Amino acid sequence: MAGTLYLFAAFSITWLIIFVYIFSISRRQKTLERQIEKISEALRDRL
Amino acid sequence: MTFIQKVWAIVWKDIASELRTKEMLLSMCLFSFLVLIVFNFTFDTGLKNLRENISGILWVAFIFSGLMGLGRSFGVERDKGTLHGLLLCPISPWGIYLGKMIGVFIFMVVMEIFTLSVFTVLYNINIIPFLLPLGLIIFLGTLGFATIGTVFSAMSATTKARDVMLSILVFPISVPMIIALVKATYIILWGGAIQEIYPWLKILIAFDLVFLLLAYLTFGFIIEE
Amino acid sequence: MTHNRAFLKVFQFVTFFMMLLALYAIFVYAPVEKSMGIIQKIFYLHVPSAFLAFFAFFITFIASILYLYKRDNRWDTIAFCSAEIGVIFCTIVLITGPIWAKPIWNVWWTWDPRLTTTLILWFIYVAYLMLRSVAGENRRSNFSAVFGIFGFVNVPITFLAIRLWRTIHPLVITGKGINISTPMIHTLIIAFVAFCLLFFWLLINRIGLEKMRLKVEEIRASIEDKIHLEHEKQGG
Repeated sequence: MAGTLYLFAAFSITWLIIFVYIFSISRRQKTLERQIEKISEALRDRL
Repeated sequence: MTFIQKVWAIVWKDIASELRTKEMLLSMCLFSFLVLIVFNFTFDTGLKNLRENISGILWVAFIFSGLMGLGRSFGVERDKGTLHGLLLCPISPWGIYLGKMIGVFIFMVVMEIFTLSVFTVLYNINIIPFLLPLGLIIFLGTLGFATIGTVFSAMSATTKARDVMLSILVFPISVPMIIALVKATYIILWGGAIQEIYPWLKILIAFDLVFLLLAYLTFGFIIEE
Repeated sequence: MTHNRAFLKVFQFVTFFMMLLALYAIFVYAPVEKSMGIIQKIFYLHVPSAFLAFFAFFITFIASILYLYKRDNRWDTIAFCSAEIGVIFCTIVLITGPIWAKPIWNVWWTWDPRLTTTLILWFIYVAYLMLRSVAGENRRSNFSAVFGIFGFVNVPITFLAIRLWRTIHPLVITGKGINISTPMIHTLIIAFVAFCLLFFWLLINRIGLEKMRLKVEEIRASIEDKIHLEHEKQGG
């Protein structure tokens, strides 16, 4: 039974690490997209 | 001026400026002295089964105070704005590297001679009969430490959080060297046969040669503006 | 661009599918190992992660050399992204290892050559990432390329030194062999493929993100330059 607990811990920690990493990538991507939007808007206003 | 004269000029510049203030050498020696004393309290070094720790303590003292000297090697040049002048010298990056590395090496050796004498007294170990093999190990270790340390000192001098960065860069890379040094010193100090240290000597020599070669190949990229 | 995006979508789908397949294989298809019990299933996470961590650092090493040789920023980006993902996988190895070791060996950690080398590897590449974050913009690529080379060259020397150091001591804990059966090998292969796909998917996305960041920075700098110039004109 203890084995199952350790197994569960190992799998959940692994997936947690991977998902947090994917989430951080997608969040950074969103921030950049927003910046691009802002820049292009500012450029459109000037032209 | 030949290449050797140019390198020596850089070495001499560091020695001369140190002789004027004696700031760094004094602090390095004092620091390693303190390390020896603090370790005496944290481990009960009189116990026989803790003898192995003693060679470790010696190297911790060497490496930690060596790190102080390293940090200043390029740090001072940067603070005083002399790094630019050094780069303008008509000498290859490899020459600058060798000059700085030999400087660090000499300062460390002075500190190590002082530390060893204090060590002999405080820990009641007669090192005179082992002087030759011990000297060889210390030579190889100090060379390796100065080799990688000078590269990382040149890097970290330009970064934020300079001193912390230097330790973070130096320690993981120096792991194989530290293991070999502590083990070989232990064998020598406790009267092991000289053949026993050969595998460790091989690792130390390989470490020194590999990283000297890498430094030769890459140092130009580090100091280029 | 659209072609690229379609490819990424397919790639993402295949990765996701393989990950699910791997989970199925690990928990349903693979039999429970006899001497270790169910805990042995960590093996299917641990081994592929260890391989990929090492592979990622190898990519960093090669890309660092190519960067110094070719002076092309693309190699610098690849080296950086690969190191970051390598640290992620190395962290997984270092966490799943002790969780596996505790019920089997009854200790969380042993200073065995492979374990210790992995730990040192982790420290080296965390230092690599820190160096990148503190180094100045104009020096970052060169510094990290040099450190990427130093770090990787150091790995075999470290392994040799630690092996020599440990064999002098008696081995207190020895690993029990795993009785591997054919379904287990199948499962390992599936998990391996799934993790490799995950690695490359992460790498492609991370490189895409880094390229985008560099582009945005570049655009910003050029706009700022223009604004500065215009101000000067108006002032003069």
